Amino acid sequence: MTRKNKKIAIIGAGHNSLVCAAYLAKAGFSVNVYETRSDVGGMASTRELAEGYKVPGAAHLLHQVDSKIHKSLKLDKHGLAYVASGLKTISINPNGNALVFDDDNITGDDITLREQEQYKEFRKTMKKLAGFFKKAYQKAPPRLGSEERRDLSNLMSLGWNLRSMGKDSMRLMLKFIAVNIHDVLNEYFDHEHIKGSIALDALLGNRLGPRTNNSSITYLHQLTGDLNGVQGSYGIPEGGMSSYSDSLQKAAESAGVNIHTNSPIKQIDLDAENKIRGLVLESGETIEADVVVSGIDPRSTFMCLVGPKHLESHYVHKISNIRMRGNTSKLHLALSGLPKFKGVDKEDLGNRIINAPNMKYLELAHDFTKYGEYSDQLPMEIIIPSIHDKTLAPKGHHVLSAIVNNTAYHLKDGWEQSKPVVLENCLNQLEEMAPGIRKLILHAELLSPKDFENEYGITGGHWHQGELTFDQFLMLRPIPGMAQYTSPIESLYLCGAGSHPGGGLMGLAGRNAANEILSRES
Amino acid sequence: MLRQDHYKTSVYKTPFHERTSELNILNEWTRWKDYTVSTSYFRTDLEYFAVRNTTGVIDYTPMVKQKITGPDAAEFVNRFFTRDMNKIAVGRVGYVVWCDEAGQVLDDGTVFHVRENEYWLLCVERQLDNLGNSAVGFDVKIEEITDEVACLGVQGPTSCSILKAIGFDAIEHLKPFDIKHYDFQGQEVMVSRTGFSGDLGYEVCMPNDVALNLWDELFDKGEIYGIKPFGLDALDLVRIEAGLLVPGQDFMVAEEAIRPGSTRSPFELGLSWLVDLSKPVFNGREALLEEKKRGSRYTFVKLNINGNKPAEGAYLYNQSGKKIGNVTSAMFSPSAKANIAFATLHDPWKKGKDKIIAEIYYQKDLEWNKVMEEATIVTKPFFDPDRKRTTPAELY
Amino acid sequence: MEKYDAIVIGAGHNGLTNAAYLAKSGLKVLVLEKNDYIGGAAVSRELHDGWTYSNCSYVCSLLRPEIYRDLNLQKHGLQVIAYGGSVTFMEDGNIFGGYSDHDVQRREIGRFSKKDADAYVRFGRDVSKQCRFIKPLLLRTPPDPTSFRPKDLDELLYLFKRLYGLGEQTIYETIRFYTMSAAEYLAEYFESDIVKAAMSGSGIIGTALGPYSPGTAYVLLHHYMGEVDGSIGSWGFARGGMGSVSKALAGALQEYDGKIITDAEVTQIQVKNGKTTGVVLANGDEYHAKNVVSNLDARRTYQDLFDPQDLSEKLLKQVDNFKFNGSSGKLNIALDGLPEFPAMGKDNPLIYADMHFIDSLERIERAYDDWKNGRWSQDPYVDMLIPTMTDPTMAPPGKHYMSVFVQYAPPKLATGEWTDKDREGFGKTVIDQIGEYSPNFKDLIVHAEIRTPQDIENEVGLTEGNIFQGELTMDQMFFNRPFPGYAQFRGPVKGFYMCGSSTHPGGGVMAAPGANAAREILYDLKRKNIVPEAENDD
Repeated sequence: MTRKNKKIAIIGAGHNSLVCAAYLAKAGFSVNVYETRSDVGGMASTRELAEGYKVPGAAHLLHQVDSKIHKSLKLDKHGLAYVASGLKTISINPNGNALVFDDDNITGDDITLREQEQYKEFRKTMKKLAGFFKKAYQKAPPRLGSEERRDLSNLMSLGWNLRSMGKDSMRLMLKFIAVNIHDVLNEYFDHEHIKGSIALDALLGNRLGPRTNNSSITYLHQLTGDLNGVQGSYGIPEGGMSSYSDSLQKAAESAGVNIHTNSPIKQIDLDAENKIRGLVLESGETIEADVVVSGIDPRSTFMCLVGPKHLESHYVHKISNIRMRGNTSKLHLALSGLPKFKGVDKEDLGNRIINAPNMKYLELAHDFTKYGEYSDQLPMEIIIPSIHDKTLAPKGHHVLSAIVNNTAYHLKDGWEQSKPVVLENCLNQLEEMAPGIRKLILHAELLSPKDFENEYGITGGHWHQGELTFDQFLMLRPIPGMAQYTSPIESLYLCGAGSHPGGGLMGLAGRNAANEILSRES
Repeated sequence: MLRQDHYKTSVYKTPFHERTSELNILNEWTRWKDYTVSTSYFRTDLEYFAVRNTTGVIDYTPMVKQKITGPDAAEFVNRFFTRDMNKIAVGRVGYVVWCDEAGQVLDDGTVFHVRENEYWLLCVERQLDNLGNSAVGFDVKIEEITDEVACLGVQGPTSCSILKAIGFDAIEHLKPFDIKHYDFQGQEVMVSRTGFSGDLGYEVCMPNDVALNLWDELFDKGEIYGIKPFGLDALDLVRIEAGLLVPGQDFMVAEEAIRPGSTRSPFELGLSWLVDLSKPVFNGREALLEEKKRGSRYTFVKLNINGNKPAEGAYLYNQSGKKIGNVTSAMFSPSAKANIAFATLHDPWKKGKDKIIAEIYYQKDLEWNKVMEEATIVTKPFFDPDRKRTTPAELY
Repeated sequence: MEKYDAIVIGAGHNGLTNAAYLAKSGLKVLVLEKNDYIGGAAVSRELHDGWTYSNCSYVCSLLRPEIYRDLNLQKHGLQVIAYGGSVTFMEDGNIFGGYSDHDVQRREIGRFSKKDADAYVRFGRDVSKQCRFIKPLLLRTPPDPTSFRPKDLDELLYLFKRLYGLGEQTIYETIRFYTMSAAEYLAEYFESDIVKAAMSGSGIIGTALGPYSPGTAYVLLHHYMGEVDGSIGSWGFARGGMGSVSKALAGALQEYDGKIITDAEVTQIQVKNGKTTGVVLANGDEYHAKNVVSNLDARRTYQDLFDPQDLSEKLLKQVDNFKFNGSSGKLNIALDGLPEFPAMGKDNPLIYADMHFIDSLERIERAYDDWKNGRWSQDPYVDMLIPTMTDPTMAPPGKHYMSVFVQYAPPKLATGEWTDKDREGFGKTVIDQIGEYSPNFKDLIVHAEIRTPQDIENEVGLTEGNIFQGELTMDQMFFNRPFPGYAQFRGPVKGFYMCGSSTHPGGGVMAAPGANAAREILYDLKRKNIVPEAENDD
């Protein structure tokens, strides 16, 4: 069978699926993508908050898009442009003293020269360590204990990348890799506000506290990306987050991919021998395919679409044990004017504003999470995209989008009961940060991890389709034995963020999966 | 919930204890899981000959028993066990093994397809954890019923006559591995033509409260047929002659193995006939397919060894003196008058080319002596009488 | 002025072990101890008339049998008596017993979940696999992964082969085991909360982490280590208290003509031209030796004993960053009689066992939250036992000695340093918790010694009172212990070594760091190695 007449069906049209589809189609396969929702992009989408007010549905910044993918899929040509990039991070403080992080520089909040130097040093070191991850992210991780050449050479190259970092960096890597961001930051800084602000980067989207081991992995993870060649830089795409997905869609379509929206999948169709036959849609329609690729999370893929009966039980056990308890909510506001944040200049409002005064604050918020409770003091990452993109709100009006961390998927009181309280808490917190903001609010909504689960079909509402912790990292992601994007079902592959190297709108899981599929199905 | 002072009775007595303790004139007991059972009642060799010549009765109660029920029971067992379970019809019993993810044997046992949507698994090690973890996605209920069901093995050439005499009508028409339910004093007992002796024989599972009465009936009606109790020592002799493995002796159950290489796949235990790789999915399939491709590490064999010194624990060598394996079970067979053993062979042993030489240590007058004896591989069980299979079974 | 081949600073059990091996090899060895007694944290002291306390450490957990045998500790009076079991008292009046008999234990777990009872076999196997993997490493020197020297490359290759020998699935399990939280690891086996809580206890002892913290799972192997050792009594009481361990080690040292001076506090390590030349005591006395070995923890050693000019700035920073996070306190209680525990019933053998009074993971985790917030746990995890049940010689006839290890207590409170009032409050919290399950307990108390982390630091010299001489987390283990580049027991100046629990494999009364350091010293001195390797289990 040649590639041309090998049919590939991809489940979900999130960014990783689209990347995967584009590469496979470019390689000559016939590729169809099936998406439950009416539009593509999954977590990288735009959502109508109220008539005339558009907000990023989930993710609201781009900072990890892989530049190779960007280039080889010609995303520029397909419409991806940034209305803003190189955003500063402004960490506000109840006392009004904000800290401003601009790439490797910090100013504000009584920062001393020494602390500025420390920060430069810290960033330099961390970027170097993240460089190791970045290399490891470029291909499927090796199987350990395997004697196959592919695995051994992958393992050797991992080892070589580690050694070639140099003695000092290698030692730092081996020391930091499994510890927490709290201890790492304590080695570099004394300034509580700096530590809190940096720690938030490690925690956003994850279910971790600063003292939770593994939080340095997540810190390094979010530093692996680069935007326009600048490592660890943030940008906002022109026309809203969906334009990232739209560009991927165009790239895919121009390579010959057919995308079918409003096509929820009921099951992955297997024959009596457990071989792929195709897909069955909710509508009852059956789709024939030789290869199925799932961009949705591994638990939904195997527990719902394949079904535990079709798997050896150890897979079921391991998949059930993947930790994917979402911890992040989204707050969306429609505002009748521009709010004033304490200590933030008006011209700086278009930047990334965070609320993480110190590590203890973050740790306390996490303590509530541990027990299925929530604090009334939650860490947030806030942007006002309408400052950069006038199409998002009526003239003079604005939309605010905030990622609210430490809102556990499993709440003891349940989300139905808790949601109004959490929303109210958030608004009170915002009012403290930006006095008068409550008066500007026209519409407000809070999307909980449960909502994300319902809306985007991610089990547990976890943004990374599974926590990014050491035991779910590299060859252990999503579970040992499936880390090469393969699955126990022949010709069923995974390409979502649940696979290596995880989430962050990188597209790498999609591209790496495409490469594996190419080498195995050609 | 069990009382918290259960530690005071570390070892339970089986429902037959009142009788077995009377008969156990040697007072030789051992612990089998939660229970105490007799290793030998009066003389192991006489107990052995009771099984081979008349009828021996063994208290099997400590055998772990699990009940699997529910609409998905058939599908569930088919995914759990390596063989094609669809071939075990209602009213039939099958010998089974099951594997972990690495294709290594977790245990062996017998599955009773008791009725539609109901299976019983009898085995050595408890399996609630394995069964439970495998049950995700299946509509089944899994219970352990070891303590609620008493169990006897009634084994030997006159066993059918005895069971018929206590009122189990038409028992002689049971084919090997058939199950039949009988009413005994108002309670349902399950009789199957199975056992561990390699001879004609039955297993009887009953509710605890009729256990003593059934025992009494058996021994009352069985007296003229030469019924005798037999203990675990005699059981070990008959099962080796019959060619039956014991987990924990002939192989390490994967659930307890700590060292790499100490477990065995079904292929490595000579049980490939229990593995149906054409089934689309069952636990261990992937690993077993891989083993098929790559080859196995071990070969299980039955040996007939020269001389008359039992080769327990013997090392095996080839003609160039290289170690090629170990004996796992051994005895001098009274029925075959042969020196027999089970053994595991490994590299560099070459099938059909290499000799097998056993290094046997034995004691005479407290002195340890060593002999090197050549052994040949035997494919059939050492003891395999026709009466084991004949249906209707022989009556006396 | 006498000259020595080697001076060991501190007569803790590792210092004594180290000195004993050096002396056994024929070196002239001197041990200097600041206190008027030897043993450091392995001591027996009579603080109340008639009662002997094991003041700090209280059980012989993983004392290496190879060393025990090699140094003939039995001859020098050490007798370790096996004890087993544990019991957790539950809020609802029930108890959860930890029995040493496998089948009784299984049945006990079955009282709460039958499935868990069966899973206990799988759990035991998986943890034992890890023990088997780790055990030989205890008596080996970690390689420097960044080095290209043949010795390090050989050791790396050994490790790699050992890891690869486990097979694919076990390799993955190993990585997960070392990085997961105790809570999550246990959840892959057990469903019952009490079972998980009872099992997780060993995962948090001495460590400032809660059971929900990743990196706590691997400590679960402590419980199984003894079983893999295959030597009965690797978990046990030293007859006469933990001081007997130190006494026996000192006996071994003296048999090889080593010398111990007590009341001799070293204040400075002398360095000349990048080499150690000896030490200076508080009273001004000097002792000279080409080799100086410190049994003190890494911070004390480098910050208090060295002239900072003899050390690089980078090392000083590493010292500064070495984490202690002291988290444990201790109560030693003299009792007028045996306390009753009605929930346990009369004559329960678990009266010999470790007792705990916290019955869920969430409660343990909340106890940890208190530590983070600069409080002692209001509902602490205690590891309590009555050693006199096993060794009646430690108290007058019919009387008892109770040892209560308490997790968590911070080295410094949110309100500042510990005050006498705080200490009392801490003691009361613990005594009240036990009192809830034992109605006559409080009335039986004759004397109670309450030790906060600060007290432990002041008396024994363990920084922040950390019982392991530095936290045993991944970033401070194996080739990272105490810091990368110094994990092979050698210090930054020639002739200087570390031999305390700050070095590989860390804390617990194992005597392994002391022995490991001796091996490296002998290597540098080009003497024949006499330090035993771990006995093979296979």
